[in-house]
Amino acid sequence: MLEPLFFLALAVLTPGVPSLQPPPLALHVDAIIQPDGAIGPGGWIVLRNGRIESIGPAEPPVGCARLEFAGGVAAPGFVDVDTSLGAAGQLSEPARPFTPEVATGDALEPDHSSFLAAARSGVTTVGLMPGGRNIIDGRVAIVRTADDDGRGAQLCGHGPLRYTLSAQAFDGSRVPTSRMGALPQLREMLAKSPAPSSGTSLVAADTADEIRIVIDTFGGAGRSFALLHPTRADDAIELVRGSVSGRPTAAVIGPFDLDTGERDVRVAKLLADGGVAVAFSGGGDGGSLRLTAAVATRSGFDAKAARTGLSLAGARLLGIESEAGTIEAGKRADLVVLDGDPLDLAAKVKLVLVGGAPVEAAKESP
Amino acid sequence: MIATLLAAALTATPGTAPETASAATPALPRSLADAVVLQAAEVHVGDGTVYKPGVVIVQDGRIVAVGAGLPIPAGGQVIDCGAAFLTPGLVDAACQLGTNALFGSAEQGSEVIPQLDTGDVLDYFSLEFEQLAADGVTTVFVTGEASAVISAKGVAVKTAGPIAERRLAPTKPCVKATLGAETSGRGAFNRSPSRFGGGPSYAIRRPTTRMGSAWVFRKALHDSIAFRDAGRASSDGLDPAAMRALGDVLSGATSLRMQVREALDFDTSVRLADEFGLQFVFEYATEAAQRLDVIAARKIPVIFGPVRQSDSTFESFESATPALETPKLLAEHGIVFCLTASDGSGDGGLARQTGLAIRFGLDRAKALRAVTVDAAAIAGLDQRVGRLAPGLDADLVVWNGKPFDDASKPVLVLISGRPVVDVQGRFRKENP
Amino acid sequence: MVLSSHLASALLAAVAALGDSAAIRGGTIVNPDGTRIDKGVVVIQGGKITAVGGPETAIPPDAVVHEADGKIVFPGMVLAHTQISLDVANENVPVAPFVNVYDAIEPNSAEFEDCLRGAIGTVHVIQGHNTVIGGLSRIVRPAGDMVDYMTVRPDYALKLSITPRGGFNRMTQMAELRAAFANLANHIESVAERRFEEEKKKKDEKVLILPEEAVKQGMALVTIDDLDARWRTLWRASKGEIPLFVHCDRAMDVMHGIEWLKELKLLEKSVFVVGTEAFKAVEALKTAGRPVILSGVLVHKESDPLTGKVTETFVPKVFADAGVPFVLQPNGFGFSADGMLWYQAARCVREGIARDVALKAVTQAAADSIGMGDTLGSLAVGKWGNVAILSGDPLDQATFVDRMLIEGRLAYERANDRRLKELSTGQDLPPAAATAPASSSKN
Repeated sequence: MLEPLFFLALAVLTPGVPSLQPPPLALHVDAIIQPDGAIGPGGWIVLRNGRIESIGPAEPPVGCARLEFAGGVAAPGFVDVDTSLGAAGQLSEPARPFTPEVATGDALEPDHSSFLAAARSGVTTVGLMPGGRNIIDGRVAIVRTADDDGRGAQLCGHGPLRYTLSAQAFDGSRVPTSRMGALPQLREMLAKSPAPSSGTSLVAADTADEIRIVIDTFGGAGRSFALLHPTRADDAIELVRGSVSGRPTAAVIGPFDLDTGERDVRVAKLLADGGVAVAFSGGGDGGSLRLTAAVATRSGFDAKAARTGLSLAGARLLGIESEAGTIEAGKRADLVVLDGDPLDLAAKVKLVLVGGAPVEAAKESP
Repeated sequence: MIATLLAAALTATPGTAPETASAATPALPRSLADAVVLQAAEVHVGDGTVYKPGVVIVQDGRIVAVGAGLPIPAGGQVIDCGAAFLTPGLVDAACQLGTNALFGSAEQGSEVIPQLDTGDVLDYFSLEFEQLAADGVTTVFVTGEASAVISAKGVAVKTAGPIAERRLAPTKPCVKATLGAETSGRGAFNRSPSRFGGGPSYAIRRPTTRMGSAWVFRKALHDSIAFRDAGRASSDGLDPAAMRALGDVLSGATSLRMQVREALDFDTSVRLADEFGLQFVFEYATEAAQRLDVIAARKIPVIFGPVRQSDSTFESFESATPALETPKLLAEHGIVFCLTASDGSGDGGLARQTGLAIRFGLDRAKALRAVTVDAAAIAGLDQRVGRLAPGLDADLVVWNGKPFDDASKPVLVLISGRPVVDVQGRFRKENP
Repeated sequence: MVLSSHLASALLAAVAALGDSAAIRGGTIVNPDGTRIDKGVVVIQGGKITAVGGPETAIPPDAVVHEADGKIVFPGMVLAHTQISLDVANENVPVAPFVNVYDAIEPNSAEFEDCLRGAIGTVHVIQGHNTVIGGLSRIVRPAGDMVDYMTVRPDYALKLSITPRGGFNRMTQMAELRAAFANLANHIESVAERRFEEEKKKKDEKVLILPEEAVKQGMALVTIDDLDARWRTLWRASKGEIPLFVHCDRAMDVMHGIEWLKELKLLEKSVFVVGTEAFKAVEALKTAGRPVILSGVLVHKESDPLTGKVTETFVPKVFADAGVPFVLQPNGFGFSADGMLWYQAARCVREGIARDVALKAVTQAAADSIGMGDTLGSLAVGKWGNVAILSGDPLDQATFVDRMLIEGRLAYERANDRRLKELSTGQDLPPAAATAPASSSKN
């Protein structure tokens, strides 16, 4: 069987097409992941100028390049908030503990080969996460894993600030050396600086007590915030659910694999049950992301929520949900076509589009 | 539900009868539909009063009434603790658990940090609190860590219950000053790298001596006075928040503890206090037996303890040795005191410390008072806990024998009316 | 950590009075099995109890009488397994059956002094947990200034460890244990062959037999004198002449230990010194029917690897519920922590173990475990006169040892315990100030 991409390449690259714009592309799949994560009916997805034009059962307009995937499932491109893909050097500036002005986009190496690997595995957007050694650690770069030509990565903006209140932000070589010393300063900063109009603060907190203090500090300051890797949120679930001062909107969890302890895996479900949107993290690899989500569902995590955890939840955290995260008309054409449910680890990636541009497939090994 | 918990294991041996108080019968509301009525062979109020048998009525997490032969309100759930003994939840006024203190959770950026809050590094989820609750210790005042000369404000918490209800506000905030070797010896970051010997270093941190500790204390208070008078900080970069916090110590708005172990540090404390007109409480007070007269004459309250066979990590910076009869001697000298287990729990915990005080001569009633009424008063928490009295939190311990006996233990612990420890003495994770 | 000299001299005085009779009268005699005699009399002659009875019991005219009105008279407790008084335990050589605590016991150790304060009259000093074969032990009285005079049973038992010593894993540990006994067997065989040849030469016989036969015939000729110190202890142990104290930290060590000791036919000579987790092997220990000495840590904590949930088990309760006699050790040693035997027994009662079981765990069961059950562990005619005169019930925290008699001789008297006074009050006392006249009288 010939790979669909072969036809796509023919369609897009056939010489003699007069317009500079590539022709619209119509994909036919048997199922489409809905914005709520449900597996909805299939149909035609029409893509034009890098965006999704329409979705539905109707025949695509004339002049479209048509690609049909028997048994294909279209999912929104995966969004992985917490990666260090393409980082040139350190992602934490250790000179000072509070560095809100730092942005990891300034350390981005767009041509790094890891982006192509990420794109091929279905990851279309990643966050380049600051390193976590500072209490305020700078802004997350929002990076598309391929540019309009389907090649190197593309910086598309600076996302939310990352904060760290776990032990890694403290050492004896600089002041404050402790959470005790840091919190008064942090509270003052939060009180003085206006809350961002959109987006959320990403706060790393590992233990139950760190989660308590994050809820207390950020919720107390009226901020919207998400927890990064709240490993022991199960111990603090009472607070996460019932906090008076404000509770986390979302949490970044993962990666999991089959060796991850049941207790750690169940944290995802407990958070979701507590009304926290879970965004999975797989270190920038689509396979790892899907494995993380699949392991979570094995421990009772809702499958629909698991699918949104692969894309929409992360897009919201980065503040790009109007552009990415779901398959909806008007959004950027970041798509993954698989031959099954993304939560089914046997399902293979058949096609990845980043902004409508196909990602060059890996060469089959002989 | 508490009744079923209790049903199993109450095999108490009633002790010999000490004093019995006359039963005052307070006015009770006629109906207390959701009240819990606990009856026990002996109800020890904490201040020396004992009802035999006695009744405690609890509603909405508070004590409504305590006495003998109280009318049982209609609709109340009656729990007969049989031959058991009932006391207030124990209070440790100088606990050092729950903060991971030795691993640098206390701020090491300065020697003078009274503006900071130990509550910010208290691990409410620490298993150490579960152990304390199982020991019958229901409230702890976690004291500032001794690696700073003037440490952070302490924090008072219940050892179990919903997180949002755990913290208590003392009548006044309280900071601790530490004289002696701990300020230089303690703290992971107060050391030069091991290749330079690993000891305290002037280049990394002052002080390195007892004299240095006293000087840091004096200088901080002088700076604070100058700050108060001038309305701003002096030129050498002092934290205005710290200066303001010290101003509260000088004015008495914040209370002060002096951590002392060696006898000579008692004397230094008194000198320093005189210089600045300060009132204070002695904390740990290891060699108090050497300074009974001066403590009694100045009416300085004492938080004494712990007595251990070998030093814990916390005490190992000093070579002070406590006299085993110290609690008895403090009582004989009319000194207001309480006992602490510091970082100890279980068999090194507060109940065992109290048992030791009894072994070495302290009267049983005074011993109970020292870990309930007086501990709460010294920690500024007597508005909420430390005694079985109407209006206070329903923090109760049911013992299967004479409290503090080596062969008895708490079989049921209630915090704000909720059972947190079951009859096996095990911590109950899910609070009903 | 040196014993104040008055205690030592008190014992010397007692030694001088050897052969004298002693009697304790007026107190309540309490035995671990719960029997009590009010206003009882205990008579000790030549170190042994010759009478236990009520006030009518005859007291020999020459007896030193200890008045015990209002006191509790209780058998001296037995510390069945301890490293106290040794500066360093655990020889660094894995297989060290040739070391002997005899060479390391410090008679002036303050820990022996604390034994007397804690009503302990007999101490089994044994080390070698952290070895493969640890060395010979010794049973001593906790009073005296020379090991020889303190000794009750010299070279009593040999310590083996099934639990791996530091740096070993379980396979190496078992391999080393097996190798030690295999090497012994090889060595004995070579000695046997040599002895056969020697005998042959002596008799000037010219018989030619196979080496195997020579070994067989030579075996009967081997005596202890044919072995040097490296082999003697292990050889005696292999023949069942020395009790084995077998350290099994975990339940799996108990199982392996029992199997291996059965192979060696030495199970009947073994005492199990177990860690907290060994409670899981309680049924196997019950079947083995050998004494079990528990760790001083009485609570086993285990966290579930999946859920992180911590479960706690009060270990003695498991043994008590299974009807397996157990022996208690202190956790650490000293006055304030759980470092006293009576405190450990009190903890057992606290956790719901019957009082007689708890008391036996520090007396009769402990005596049984060191093979002295007929001699120690209760106040009965024929047993040794190790008696504690207590100010109150043995499990009451306010109780102090007022006097401690070892084999009828006064070894400790609280009224003269200067160190206790100094520890209590924090005051340094001049030696004379603490010396009060003893309240004993000649009848």
